[in-house]
Amino acid sequence: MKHNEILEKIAYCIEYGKIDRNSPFPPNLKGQDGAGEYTQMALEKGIRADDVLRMGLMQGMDRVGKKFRENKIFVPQVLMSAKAMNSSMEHLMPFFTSGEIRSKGKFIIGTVLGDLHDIGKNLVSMILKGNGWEVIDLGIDVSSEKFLDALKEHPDSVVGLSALLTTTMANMKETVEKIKDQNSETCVAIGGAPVTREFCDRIGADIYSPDPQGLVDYLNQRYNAG
Amino acid sequence: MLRRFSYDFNELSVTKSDLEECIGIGCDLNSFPGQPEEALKSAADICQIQGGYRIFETIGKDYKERQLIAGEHYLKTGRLIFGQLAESDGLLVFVCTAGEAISAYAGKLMDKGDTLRGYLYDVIGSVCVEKALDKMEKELDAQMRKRSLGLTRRFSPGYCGWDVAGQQKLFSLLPEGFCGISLTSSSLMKPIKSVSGVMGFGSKVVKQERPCSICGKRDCIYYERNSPIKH
Ligand code: B12
Repeated sequence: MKHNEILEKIAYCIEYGKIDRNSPFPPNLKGQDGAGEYTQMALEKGIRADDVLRMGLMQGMDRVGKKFRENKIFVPQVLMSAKAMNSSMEHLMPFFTSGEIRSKGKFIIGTVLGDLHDIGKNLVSMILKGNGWEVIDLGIDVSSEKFLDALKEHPDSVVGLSALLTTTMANMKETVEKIKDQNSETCVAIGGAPVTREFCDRIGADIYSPDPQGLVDYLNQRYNAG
Repeated sequence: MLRRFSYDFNELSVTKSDLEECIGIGCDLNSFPGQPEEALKSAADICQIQGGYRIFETIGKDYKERQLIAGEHYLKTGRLIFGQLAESDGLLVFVCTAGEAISAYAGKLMDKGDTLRGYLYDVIGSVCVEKALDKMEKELDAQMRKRSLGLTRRFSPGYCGWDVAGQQKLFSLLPEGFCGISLTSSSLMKPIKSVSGVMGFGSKVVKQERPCSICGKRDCIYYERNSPIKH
């Protein structure tokens, strides 16, 4: 198999959520190699880890984010794609550790204080990871202080806030203000069902997106990292 | 008057297509053979569906501020819902939950990396509260009919212009911890898979269509996505 064919296989397996040979999903790929095996094969054939990441894994996840935005696929498919991506990522981990490949940057994410919803936030995390970001997930019910502490530890990170109710969305305002007070350069993204662009402008956050891909596109543009 | 009810998961007949509908219009779970079926089977032992309501036989109306007056409490439901309840003589304040266990189980699966299964259980939790409320509404419709009364559809804080913060007032009409549901200061109900709301009733009440067509809120997610979740 040619190098670009292997990379396309990786992208394909991630796009369709084929984790590895043992995974029964999707049924039409049963018994075939998955993202894990193809990633291993790519590295064994001497393809650079960075190319595997960018031309295999990230390609696949980009397709997933776009199809999800267009309602061509739904949460279950994204979850399987994220698993396929993880199985590919496991093989790439040593190259991250050695510094041979680098993430696009760090992204701190959490659901704001008073809110316990996490599926939306988790989907954003998965799609960002698949687009080459290192994600630091603070979980749910996260206070402004926790966001600030995480920023102290990882100063150049982008921050993402999620909320599912208008009552908890109100807590975004305080968190954004405190983050901007600490460092006005910090980029803050907000999202979740009740959030709107108008609210985003009003509280001084940098970007609102109704879906994870919108955030990916914005970050790629802002950090010139497409 | 306070009433409580509990339903068995199996009497709600939750189907795979209910889950698909909740996940999104066009979603097809056939690419995950066996998964929804298995989750639906074992969810029966996990969901603890219970609910209850308080009936106010008569309510007052503050037309100026567009508030409903139940006992000594004022409910600021907003213009739209106030309009929908204009013909109502009485009010029924309800809550319903699928219980804590279903979310806990879903969370546990997700934490250990079994994300698809975890997500399916989470969706089952959402669907089953909705189906329980459909059943409750049907039973109440029949009861009201016997009294020659009509019942409005359900209206919840967070919908149709009724602020989610209105949950605080709604919960003050119910005993603390009613049906195992509590409200946080940020107006979030625990367990997560819970829904609250009101319905009006009266001799002149006729059930109407959802007020989407007369609501200006075109960015309401309910309106936009035509979501099957009706709370
Ligand atoms: C299923 C559902 C329920 C279920 C389960 C809820 C749960 N959390 O498990 C049930 C039936 C129990 C329920 C109950 C209620 N609900 Co409800 N529910 C929904 C529904 C239909 C789907 C939510 C969902 O799971 N979405 C799927 C996930 C993946 O999407 P998501 O979290 O929004 O995340 C995506 C994006 O928002 C974005 N995103 C998320 N975070 C971030 C962060 C960043 C940085 C970025 C860029 C993007 C991003 O990316 C994600 C992936 O695309 C929504 C409407 C809707 N279509 O969103 C209403 C909705 C959330 N509910 C709403 C309301 C009001 C309620 C109730 C208060 C009603 C009531 N009075 O009983 C209760 C509250 C429950 C509680 N515990 O307090 C409102 C909230 C709006 C508001 N006014 O605040 C909504 C938006 C419906 C509406 N009116 O438009 N609900």
